[in-house]
Amino acid sequence: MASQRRIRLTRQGLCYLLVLLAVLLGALVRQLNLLMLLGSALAGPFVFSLIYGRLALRRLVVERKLPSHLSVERRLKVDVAVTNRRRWLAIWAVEVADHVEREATNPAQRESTCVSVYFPRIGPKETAQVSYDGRLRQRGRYHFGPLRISTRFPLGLVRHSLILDQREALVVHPRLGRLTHDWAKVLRENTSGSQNIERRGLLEADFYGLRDWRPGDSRRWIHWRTSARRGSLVVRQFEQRRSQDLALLVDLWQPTQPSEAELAHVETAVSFVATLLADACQQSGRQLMIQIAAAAPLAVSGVASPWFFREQMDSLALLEPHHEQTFPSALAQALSAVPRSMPTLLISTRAIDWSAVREQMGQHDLHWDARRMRGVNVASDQLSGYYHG
Amino acid sequence: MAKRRRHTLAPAQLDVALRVLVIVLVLVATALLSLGEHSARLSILTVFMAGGSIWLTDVTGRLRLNQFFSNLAALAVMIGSVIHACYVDRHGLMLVVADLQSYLQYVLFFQKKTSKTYWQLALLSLGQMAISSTLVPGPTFGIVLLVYLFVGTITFALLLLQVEGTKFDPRSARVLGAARPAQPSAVGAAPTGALALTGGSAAIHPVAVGRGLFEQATFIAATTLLVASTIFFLLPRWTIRNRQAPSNEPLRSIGFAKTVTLGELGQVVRNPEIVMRIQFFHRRSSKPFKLIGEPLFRGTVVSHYEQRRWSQASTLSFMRLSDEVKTPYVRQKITAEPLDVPELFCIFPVFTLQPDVRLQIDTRGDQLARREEDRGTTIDFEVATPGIRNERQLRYLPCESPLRPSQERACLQMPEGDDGQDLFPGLREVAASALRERSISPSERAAAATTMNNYLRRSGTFFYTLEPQVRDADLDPLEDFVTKHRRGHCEYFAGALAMMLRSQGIPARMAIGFKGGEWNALGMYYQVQQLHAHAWVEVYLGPGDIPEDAFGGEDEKPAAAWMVLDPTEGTQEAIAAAENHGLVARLRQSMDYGYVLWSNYVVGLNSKRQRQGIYEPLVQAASAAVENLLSAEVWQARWNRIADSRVGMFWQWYRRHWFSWRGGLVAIGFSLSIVGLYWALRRGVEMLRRYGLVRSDGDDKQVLEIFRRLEAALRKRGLARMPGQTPYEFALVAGGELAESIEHRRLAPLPRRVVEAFYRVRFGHRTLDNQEADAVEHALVELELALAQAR
Repeated sequence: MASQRRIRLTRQGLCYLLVLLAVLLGALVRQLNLLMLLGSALAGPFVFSLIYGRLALRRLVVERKLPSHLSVERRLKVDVAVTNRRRWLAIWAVEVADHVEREATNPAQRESTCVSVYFPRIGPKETAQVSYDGRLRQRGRYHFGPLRISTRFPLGLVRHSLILDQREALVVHPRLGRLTHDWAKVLRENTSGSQNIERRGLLEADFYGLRDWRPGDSRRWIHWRTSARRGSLVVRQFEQRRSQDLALLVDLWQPTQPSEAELAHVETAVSFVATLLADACQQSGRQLMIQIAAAAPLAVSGVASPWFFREQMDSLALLEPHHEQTFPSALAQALSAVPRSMPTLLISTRAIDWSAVREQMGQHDLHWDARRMRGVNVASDQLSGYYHG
Repeated sequence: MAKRRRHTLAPAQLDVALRVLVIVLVLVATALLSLGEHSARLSILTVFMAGGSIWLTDVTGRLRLNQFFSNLAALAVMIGSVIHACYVDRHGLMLVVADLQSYLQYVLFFQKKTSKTYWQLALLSLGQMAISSTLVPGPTFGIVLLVYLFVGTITFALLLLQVEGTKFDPRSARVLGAARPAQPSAVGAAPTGALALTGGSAAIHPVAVGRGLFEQATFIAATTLLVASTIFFLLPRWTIRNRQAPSNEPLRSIGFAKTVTLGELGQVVRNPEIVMRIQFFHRRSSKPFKLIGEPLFRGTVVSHYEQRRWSQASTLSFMRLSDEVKTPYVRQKITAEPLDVPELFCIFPVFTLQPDVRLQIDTRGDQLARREEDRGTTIDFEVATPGIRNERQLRYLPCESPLRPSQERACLQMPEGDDGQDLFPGLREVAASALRERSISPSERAAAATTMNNYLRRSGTFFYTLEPQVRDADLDPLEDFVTKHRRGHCEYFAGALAMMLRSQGIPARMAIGFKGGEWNALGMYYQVQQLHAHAWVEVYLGPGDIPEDAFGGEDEKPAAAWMVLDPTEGTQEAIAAAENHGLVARLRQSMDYGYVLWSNYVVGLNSKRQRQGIYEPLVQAASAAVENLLSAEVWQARWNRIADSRVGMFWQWYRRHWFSWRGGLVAIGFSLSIVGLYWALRRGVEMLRRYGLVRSDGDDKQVLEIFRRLEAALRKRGLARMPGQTPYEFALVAGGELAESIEHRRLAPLPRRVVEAFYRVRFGHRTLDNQEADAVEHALVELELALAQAR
């Protein structure tokens, strides 16, 4: 961990130094011993200040404790712990300043701030912890660091700083909203017709264990290797699940010169997707497909789980909109990987031109028929029926 | 929670302590200034104003000057001071400036206190200290300066804590009178943007502040003392005579005068004021030594006795002190305090090693004096004397040439009555009978003088006392002392002896000066006070009268000499010895030594003293150190010392006997001791760790445990880390292996996630939050269970 030392005279220190020099100069010119003594005595604390801060910061260990993740507008609490590794000497008036900056591809959108915490005294072999808190109002990646630890003790004449290159990043996830009952209804309608419980043979996600054979069990379920080893029939257990798999196609469009509303639509769309994802991942084992047309397109599929949710939230946090006017062909192409029976939701930040969608699908030899596809335009009032931010 | 708050220190509480400390700081500076002005007016006024401001401004807030009225008051004070300054001299101008600083402090007292106010008050008090440095030359300045620095350090440390604490404490909106509300401490925070962050502060316990600051201030004061001493002594001086504040004290009168009137010594001899300090050095040595026996420091000699008064026979004429070196000699380093007489006191005869224009000696070499203009100041000088041999003062003073007849007659003078009658018949008879008893002829001057001296000292009929005695008014006091009232002080003894010698035709005179003084073992010097004033007798010995052993040999025998006789010897010493013992005496000596150091090395530090006392010893020490390091001879000598020591002798023995049973035993013993030492060291470190004195690596162990568990779990499936494989590489390989198996495919991502968490902690110096820790634990348990079943 690289560190950089800095020393700076404070305003009071400059004033003190001037007085000190005046006294010493007068004493030298006039050869007045007692005035020299006074000047020397004044120089003592000044020299001490120069030395003390340097020594004081030397054996301090600073640690910043960030949460692993955070959602927009949730309270951020960052613990800053300073350990004084000295055996005898207490350290006084230590200030730790942390630089926080939001990452953005557009430099104009970068924001940064410096927040400080203060430790009046840290005893020998003691760790003191102070938190700074607040809220981060936009999703994205925030960079924390470097840390600047400084002290003006004992007299406030000199500020000693030590810049510690302790950098960390925190991904702030999109805001999670609330899905309405209407949305649940829509989802049920979309999945109707395939409500019956399936035991889908050897699909990887369904197999979760083995048990002894019971009358009525299919022969296809027998795990022959284990049965042979144990000398009795053992069948595979499969997870019973409803066909609530979901494919999310997101057209994250934004004009090159967006209005405030258009900016908000993108955030709403991302939040809506994040909320859908959170809802879907509450029940693990569901197959989820996500295709997002953005500045950096995102295409993932997997089984719903906390890890999956966490990874996709990280991705959603960093999404930036695209500016293509036409319907993104990537979305249409993504449909080829979506099983026909899988409910598909097309979310867009602009009005959905279904004819364009069909056209795009046609270009990829895909047929519209029999697909359970629904579209949501977040720029319209349609969303309010399904989702509250 | 409420209880906890009562124990934490708010900036408002710090403010109260700060206010008190700043006032103490101001009072200390003002008190010193008052001492320099010889007036308590300013101190009393400051106490009154400070008390009033605390009540009216700080506590009740009834009187609080705003900026406009403060400026107005300050302006008025300055105008008044300028007008006052027009009518005073230079010294008075300094006092006006000092007063002005106090008046400005009064204006600040009645303002609302901010950190700026405190700084201004402290700076003004610093100005007062600066002025005091020219008004108070004594050690008091040094002591008060130390107190000032100590209080100042605590004050400014507290001020810093208060200012910093105020920034971070929302309770402190009214502290320091700040108009701004409690604000978030985020420097450059952007509450309206994406970032809205607020800083925080730890609480602090009042006891911790009090005790901690006291410790810190002590530490700072000690460092400051060291740094200040270094800077002070190294700052260049370029004048021999350091400017010194003129002393306002009247010149001291002592029990010494060119004339001695019998009966007057009783009042002055007890005066403890210091006359001089004197050190003795062998030739070029820098180490002082103490004389064997009590030295007699002669100031002058008187030979004419008339009407109860001893006086000089004729007016003395002075010349520059001779620089002709007489060996062997002893250097006398003397610091003479201001006196109302020009005489200087030392052991005679004297000459100088370096010409010193301030010193002069009378043409007969009997009296050393300083210039008239130097009487009012302390002077340091160095003279040499051949009058000390083997650390003992000689009892014979060599004369350059025999006395002229007129001078000899003056030393035989005895007063007569108005009608020519003998004033000393009884004294003559006593002297003659003393010689008769010993069958000594007056022509044997040395023997006769010694006999009469012994008679006064040892006959048991004469008693030394400092108390005034009843005398027969019809008789000369000396006649009365010898014949009737045999009690008196040194002047009676010396006068009586001189007259007894003269009555027998032996030339004698009375020497006046100081005897002994107080030996300061700490500073290795004699401190001579007025109460050490003394009178004794010098007997003239012609060329044939000088004893053979008086000067060590026939070659060194001078043409004539003065034999020193002290008829009170042995009586004053007992009194002085009683006074010089005990704690009080030692304390007095220490204080005096401190005063000497202060006078010589602080107030009186000049270029010469700096060169001799600081620069040259430093250069010598540095060159000696370099020589010690680089000199082959020195290293050879060290090696020889080691070789001659027991270790060296043992090594020599071992080299001869290493291949023997005794050598084997030694080798085994040595090896065992090394093992024992290693064991003891390890035990010691363990003990230190147990008591928390050395950092344990337990934290690292906990972190490593995560990876260890992962490795253990994967090993059950036959997955082991290859040499040189990083944990992350291992995790990826293991994940791939797991993905190959349908049964364990779901476990495939887990090793990578666990290792990522491990990296964050191990190398990212982060700690896992609860959610992360749970996820890692869950993943590890899942892996452990699944892979254990697989086995």
